[in-house]
Amino acid sequence: MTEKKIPLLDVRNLSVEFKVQDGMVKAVNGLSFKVYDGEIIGIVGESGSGKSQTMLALMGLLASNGKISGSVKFMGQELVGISTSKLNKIRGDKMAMIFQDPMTSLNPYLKISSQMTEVLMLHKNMSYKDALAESIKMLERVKIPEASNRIHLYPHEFSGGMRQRVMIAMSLLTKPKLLIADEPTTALDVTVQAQILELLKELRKEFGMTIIFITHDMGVVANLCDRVNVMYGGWLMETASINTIFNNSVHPYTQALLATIPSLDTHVEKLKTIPGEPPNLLQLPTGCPFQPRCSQANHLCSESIPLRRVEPRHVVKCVNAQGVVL
Amino acid sequence: MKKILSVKDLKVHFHLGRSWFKSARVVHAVDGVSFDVFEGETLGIVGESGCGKSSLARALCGLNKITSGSALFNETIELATANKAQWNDVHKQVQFIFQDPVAALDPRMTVAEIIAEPLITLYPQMTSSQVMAKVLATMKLVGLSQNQINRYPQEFSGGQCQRIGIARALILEPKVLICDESVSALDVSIKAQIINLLQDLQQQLKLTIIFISHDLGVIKHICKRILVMYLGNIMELGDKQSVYENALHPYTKALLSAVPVANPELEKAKQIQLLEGDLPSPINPPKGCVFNTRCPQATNECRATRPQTKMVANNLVSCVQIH
Amino acid sequence: MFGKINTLNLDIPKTKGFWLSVFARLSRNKLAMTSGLIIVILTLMCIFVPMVSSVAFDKTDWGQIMQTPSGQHWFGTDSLGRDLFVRCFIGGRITFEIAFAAAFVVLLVGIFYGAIAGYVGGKLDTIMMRVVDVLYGIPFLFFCILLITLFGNSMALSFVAIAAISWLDMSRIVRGQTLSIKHKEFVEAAMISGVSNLKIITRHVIPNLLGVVIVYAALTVPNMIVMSAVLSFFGLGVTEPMTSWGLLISDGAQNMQAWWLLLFPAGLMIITLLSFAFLANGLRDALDPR
Repeated sequence: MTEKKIPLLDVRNLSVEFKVQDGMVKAVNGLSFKVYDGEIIGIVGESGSGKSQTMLALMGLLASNGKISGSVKFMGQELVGISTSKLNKIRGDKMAMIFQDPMTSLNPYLKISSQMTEVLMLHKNMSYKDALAESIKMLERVKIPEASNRIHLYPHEFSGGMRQRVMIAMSLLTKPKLLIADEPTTALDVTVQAQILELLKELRKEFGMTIIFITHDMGVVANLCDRVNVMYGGWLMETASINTIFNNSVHPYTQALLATIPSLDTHVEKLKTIPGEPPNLLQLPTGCPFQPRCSQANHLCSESIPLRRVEPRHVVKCVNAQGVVL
Repeated sequence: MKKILSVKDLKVHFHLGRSWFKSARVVHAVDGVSFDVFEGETLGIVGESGCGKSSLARALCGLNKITSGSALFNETIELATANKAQWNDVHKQVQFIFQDPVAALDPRMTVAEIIAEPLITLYPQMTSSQVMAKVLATMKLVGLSQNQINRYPQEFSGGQCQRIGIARALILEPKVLICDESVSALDVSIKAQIINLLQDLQQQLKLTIIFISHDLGVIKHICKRILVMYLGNIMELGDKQSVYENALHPYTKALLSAVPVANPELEKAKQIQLLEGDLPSPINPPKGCVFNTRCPQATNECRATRPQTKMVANNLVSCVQIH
Repeated sequence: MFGKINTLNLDIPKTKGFWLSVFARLSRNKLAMTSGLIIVILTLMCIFVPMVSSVAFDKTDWGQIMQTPSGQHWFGTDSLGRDLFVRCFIGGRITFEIAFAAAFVVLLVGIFYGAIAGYVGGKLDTIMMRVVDVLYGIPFLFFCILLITLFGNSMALSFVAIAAISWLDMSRIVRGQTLSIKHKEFVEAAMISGVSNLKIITRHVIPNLLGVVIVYAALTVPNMIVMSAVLSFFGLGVTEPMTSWGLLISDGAQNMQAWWLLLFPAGLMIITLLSFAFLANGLRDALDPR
C-alpha cells in the first residue's frame, strides 16, 4: 500500500462536540487518519476516548445534540454536511455497521428472513424470491447451520454468537466497501469470539472488504488488524501498523496501555499501572488530555501539540515525539 | 495446608417457569463439582458465560441456594444446611466483590454508610466512634481519601466505586474474598490498578481469594491454581503452570488457544483450535460428557458415559480419553 | 439513615445529595415551580381564608341572595346569600383534606404492600396480587353507595372509600419497581452483609423507589380531588352546610344563569389539577434526567 493511492476513507481534523446540561463535551478532537482499500484498522481506547463517537459521526448517526466539524471523505465524496437522503444511499450501499449488541439493530418482532430480504429489495431492487435465496446464501457464508430453515426464525431464537453472525450476514448483503464494527465481540465468549474473528478475516479475503474495528482489547487488535489508531480523551494519540504499535510505539500512553495488560505470553510479578482516572470530557486539560497521568509530561504538554510523522504511516501526537510536523 | 473450603459434589439447580400448566424446567447451573480451597491461596475459576462459575460463587456466599452436595467452610460450618446464625458467621468471614462496581453501591447512601453497613449489621455492639474509626482505616487501606467519606457513589468513577466495594467487603476482616468478574467492567488502565490492589491486600491481610473471570490473562496473573468449568462441570483443575503450559483437557486447550494475545507475531503464528457451535443449554445438558457436542475428539464413549474426575500428571481432569 | 454513625466531628463537608440535586434541577423548570407555588398558595388560602374572613361560610343573608361578584362579595353569593369566596376556600379545605389524607394512606399502604409483595415474592406475592386484582373488580361508585347504606353518609366515609380504591395502583407500581431493585447488586451486597429482609426493604428498597412514588403521588392527589368531587357531586360524603368543590360545582351547574356559581369553584379546581399535573411532570424530569 503506497501513500499515493487514494484512500477509501480520509478523515481530516474531525471534531465532535455535544452540548449537555453542564457544558460542552468534546468527544472527538481534531482527528485525522486514512484508511486504504482492504485494510483492517483497529481503533482502541478506553471509555471516553471517543472511539465509538468517531464511528457514529462517520455513519451520520450522532445524537441530535451533537455537532460535527472537519472533513470525512469516503471514496472521494465528502460526508460531512451532506443531506440525509444522500447519506442513506451511501450507508445502505457502500458502508455497513455492526454493533456490540446485535439486538439493537435487529427488530425483535420480525423474522430474520423479512429483515434480510427487505435490505435487498430496497437497495438492489430484487424480487422477494431472489432476495430470500441471496439471504440464505449469505447466512451459509457466515456459517449458520441449516440456514434455509433458520432464516425463518426470530432474532431471540438465536444465541449471542449466532446473532452476531446474522448481523454480519445482513451487513454484507449489499457488498459494502467498508464495514464498521463497534466492539462486535466484546459481549461474546472467547471461543465464540475466535470464531467471529476468523470469519471476519475470511470475509475480508473473499470480498476485499475494508474493516474499521473498534475495541478495547489489544489482544483482538493483535489478532485481526493491520493498523491501529490509539485514542485517548478524544485525541488520536498514535497511529501505526500493529507491529510498530506493539514493538516500537512512541507515545507514552500507548506504551503505558500495553504495559498494564496481564497477558498469557508473559509473566510479571506486578502489573504496571497508569495512575489516576480516565479523563472527564467536561474538564479536559488544555493541550494533551493524557498529561495528568503521563510519566513523561512536561510544561510543553499544555500547549498545542502538532501531529508528527515518525516514519511513513506512523503518526504521533506527543511533544516528546521526534519527526516531521504534519 | 488448611482447607478453608471443601466442596463435594455440589449442585445448584434453578427451577424455571413452574406453573399449573407446564412442568418445571430445571437449569443445571452447577452440576456436581468437587474441589478444595486452601487457606491463603488464590483459586481462579474460568469458563465461558453459562458455565456456572457465578452460580457456584454465589452459592458459596449464600446468594444462591445449594440444591445438593456439601460445602464445608472452615472445617466447621456446612453451607448446604447452615441456619441463619451460622450464615451470619459465614458472612463475617466470606465476602463478595461484584462485577458492576456502580450497581453494587446503593445510590442513596454515602460512602460512609455503604462501607459501615456490614459492620453495623454483624457487630451491633460496636460504638459509633469505633465504627467510624474502622471505616476510615478501611478506606485508607483501599486507597480512598477520608474527605470522600460523605459523598455519594454517583460522584465516583468505576474504579473508585470498585474500591468502595472492596472496602465494604474488607471492613469485616474476612478470611475469604470471592471476586466475581470484579475487574471485567473496568477500563484497561483501571483494571491493572484494582488487580494490584487485590494482590497487595491479599499479602497484607493473608486473604484467601476465589477469583472468577472469563479473562484468562487476568486469571493467569493473579491466581495460583486454576479451575476450568464448562456447563456446570469441572473440566480441569491444577496449578497455574500445569494448566497453562500442559493443559490436558481438550476444552482447556481450545479455550487457551482462543484467547487473543497482545502480541502480533504470536497471534499470526498461532494455530487456533476453533470450537464448533455454541454452548448447549444448561436446561438439557448433553448426555455423557457435557463437552462432547463441541469436542473435536469426541467418541461414542464420550457421548454415553459421564467422565469421572481423575488425577493425571499434575492436574485433575474429567475426560474419558485421558488416562 | 444510620443514627449511629456520626461523621460530623470529622469536619468533612457533606456533598450535594440526591434530593438536593433533584431540587436544583426542578427549580430550573419554571412551569413546575410556578405550579408548585400555586399549590402552596391555594393550600394556605384554604387554611386561612375561612379563619380570617369576617363572614362565616355558612352564614345565610337573605338580603344578599344571588349577588354578582362585587367588592363586598368577591365571588358573589349563592341562593341562600352565602359568600362564595369563603365557601370556595372552605370547600377547597375539605377537598384538600380528603385528597391529601387519602394520598397519604395510599402512599403508606401502597408502598409497604407493594414492597413486601415484590421483595418476598413467591406464593405470598401471588396471593397479595390476586387480592389486588379482586379489589380492582369492585366498581367504585357501587362500593361507595354500599358503604353509605351500611354506615350512613359522612365525610370520613368518602375518604375511606377513595383511599380503599386508590392504593391498588400504587401497590402495583411499587411492586414492579421493587422487583427490579431486588435484583440489583447493592441489595445482594446487603444480603451478604447479613442485613435482615425488613431492613433491606426499609433501608435499600424504599429509598430507591421513592422517586417513582413521588411522581405517582403528585399524579394521585389530583385524582383524589376529582374522585372526591365526583362523590360530592352526587351528594355522597360531604353534606350541607359544609361544602366541597364537588358540591359547589354541582350547585353551580343547577343555577346556570348565575355563572359565577359554576365559574369560580370549577376554575379553582381546574387550576389545581393543572398545577399538580405540571408539577408531576417537572418532578419526573428532575428525578430522571435525560
